Amino acid sequence: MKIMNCPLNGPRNISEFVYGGQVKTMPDHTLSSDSAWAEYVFYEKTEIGLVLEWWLHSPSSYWFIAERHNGSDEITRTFAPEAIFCDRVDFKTSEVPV
Amino acid sequence: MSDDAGLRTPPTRLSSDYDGAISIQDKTHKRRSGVRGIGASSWLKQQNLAAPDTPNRIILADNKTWVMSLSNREYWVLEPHEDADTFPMGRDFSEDGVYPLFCQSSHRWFVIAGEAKAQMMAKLCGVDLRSENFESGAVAQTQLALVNCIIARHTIDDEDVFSVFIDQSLAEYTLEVLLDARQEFLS
Amino acid sequence: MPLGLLKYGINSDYPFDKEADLPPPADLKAQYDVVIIGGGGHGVATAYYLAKYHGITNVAVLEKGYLGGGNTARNTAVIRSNYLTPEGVKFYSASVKLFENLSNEFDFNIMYSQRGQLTLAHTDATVRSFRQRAEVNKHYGGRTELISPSDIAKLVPTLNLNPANLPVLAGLWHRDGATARHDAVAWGYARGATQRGVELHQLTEVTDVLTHGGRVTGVQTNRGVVNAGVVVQAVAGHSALLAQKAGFKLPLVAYPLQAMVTLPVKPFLTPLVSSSALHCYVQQTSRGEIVFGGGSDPYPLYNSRSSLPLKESLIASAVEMFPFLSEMRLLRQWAGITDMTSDYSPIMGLTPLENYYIDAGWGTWGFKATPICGKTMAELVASGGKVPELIQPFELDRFSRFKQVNEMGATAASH
Repeated sequence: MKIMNCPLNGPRNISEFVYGGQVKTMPDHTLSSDSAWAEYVFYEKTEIGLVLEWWLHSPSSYWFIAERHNGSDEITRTFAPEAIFCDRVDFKTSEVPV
Repeated sequence: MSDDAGLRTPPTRLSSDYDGAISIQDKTHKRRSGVRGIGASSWLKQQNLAAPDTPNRIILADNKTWVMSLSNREYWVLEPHEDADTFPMGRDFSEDGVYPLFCQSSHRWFVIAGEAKAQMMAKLCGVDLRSENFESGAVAQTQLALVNCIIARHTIDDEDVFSVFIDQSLAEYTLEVLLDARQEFLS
Repeated sequence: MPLGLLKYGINSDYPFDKEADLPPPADLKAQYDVVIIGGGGHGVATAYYLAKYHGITNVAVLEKGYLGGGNTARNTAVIRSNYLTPEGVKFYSASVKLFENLSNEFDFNIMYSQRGQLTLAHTDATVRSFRQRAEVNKHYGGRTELISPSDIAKLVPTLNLNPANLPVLAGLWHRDGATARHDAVAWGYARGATQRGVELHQLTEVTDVLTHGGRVTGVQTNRGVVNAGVVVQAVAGHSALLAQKAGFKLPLVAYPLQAMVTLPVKPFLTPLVSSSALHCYVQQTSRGEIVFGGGSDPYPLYNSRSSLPLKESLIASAVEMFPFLSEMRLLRQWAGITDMTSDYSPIMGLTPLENYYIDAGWGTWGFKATPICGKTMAELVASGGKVPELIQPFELDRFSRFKQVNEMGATAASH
């Protein structure tokens, strides 16, 4: 079984983890254009190489970030999301729907 | 399940009635509760319950109460000698950053004891639960036969046991798996 | 029966030299009217229809490996049209119609076998969606109906009607469902295209797409530069990578899809059977092998490796459906890279480059669309960029217009 190292629980079988999509920066949905929002929702980095991804350790419901090679499947590092996401993100709510 | 009755009326002593090999007891009706949030560990201290310093540990907080840490913000309080009641509803959760966690009804609690328990669990679980790698006080959040579970190694009445917590919805299935895995260790 | 078979029967020197093979490798010309990147089923089908219906024969199909060696060879050869949306049903029904006559048209046996496809429902919600699919299908001329467990038991006596303690509540019985020899489809199209003057260049890899002022001018290959009036890309799992070379992005994620096949046994299973809850489908090939496959890998990867956990769960599901399969031996297992769209529908038509057309996003549902895809892509090329009505719903820009064609429920369990 392939092993992934969970930052909270240590090395575990890959079957304990759930893939959660690439790490992307969410645009301000109240201001972004349709095309920018579509870009955020539908498009991922497709080059072969290292990608940053969200992963969930399912038994502990713990979300973290993994750096993985999407061609060789090698997991190069895993870390707690606090390393990137330190602050709560709030978007202004617009008065009029855009 | 055919041997349902045999399981639900477990022997009073955990393992010796089973030739020392393996016993599986259902402690679902025993008291447990939890707290969650950034203030969870300090809240536990206010209740005079010691909490582990690191995630995935279990310690004896007072005479008969075990406190298990699942992360830096989530703790379960286990009282294997007390019948379930409405705890923690009776306690004060008005403080910021602390939320009650109702693991009493969400999870089943099985207690596995006996010499061969780590050997039996090796058939079902990817984590090495032998005592040299999973000492008393260790907790693993992992899977048993692909079902999410929490396994804690501690003692009940001086007996070395695994407490296994499984979501209610899959507990009946997992119990069947456990009983099946136990078969080969019974004389 | 194709008349060609009769010829073989009475001729003493089968196979005939003149028709048994493709033309020998030739030099690449400096310029073609149309360059098609990808020599899989879709690519050669497009070339075939360009030559046959539009008289466009100065066409090169460039294939980095060998003819039909990618996902054309790796799919599990399911042909059906029982999708959910009117757009999808119309499109795939047109494909089924073309498949029905393909052996005659090629004078080459693609082993097309219309034996029906059965999808099992294990929940009330699935039964409801099956009702909808049956109605949409009937409306567009397909033969699809909802049948009861007792009908299912008659149709497939060997099926376990309570697999994994998930009782079968109903079945979506699709009489138009079929299978065919996937390699033969690519060979038939390639033969028909090359006989009409199309050049198929195998072992010819496109390494870059050459553009100038919003137009494509040609492609760089491992055998030199080829100029092109029009370029069509049909490269399945590597679609997003190639598009990037052409300078635009595609909303695709590449997932491996694994399948396997047992040793051959006597025929016992006529329809193609799939379970919506177990995510597993089982069929018996004309050679007697049992093919089974299921859902994609749980996370993206540009790699056709296999993994034990997925094979295990696939086998477990297949054995639940047909318990005696546990007695059988596996012959082969494999994986392919699928280019998945978020709405489980393909991407066909125009791109940001004026004379560069795309045929991608075929995920796990590409084989069954081979004929209609080739036909409509050829129309698109021949008309100079007028998108045929049948494929307008599948244009690339549907994502920025939020007009997806959701076929997830009709696709995930049975490819």
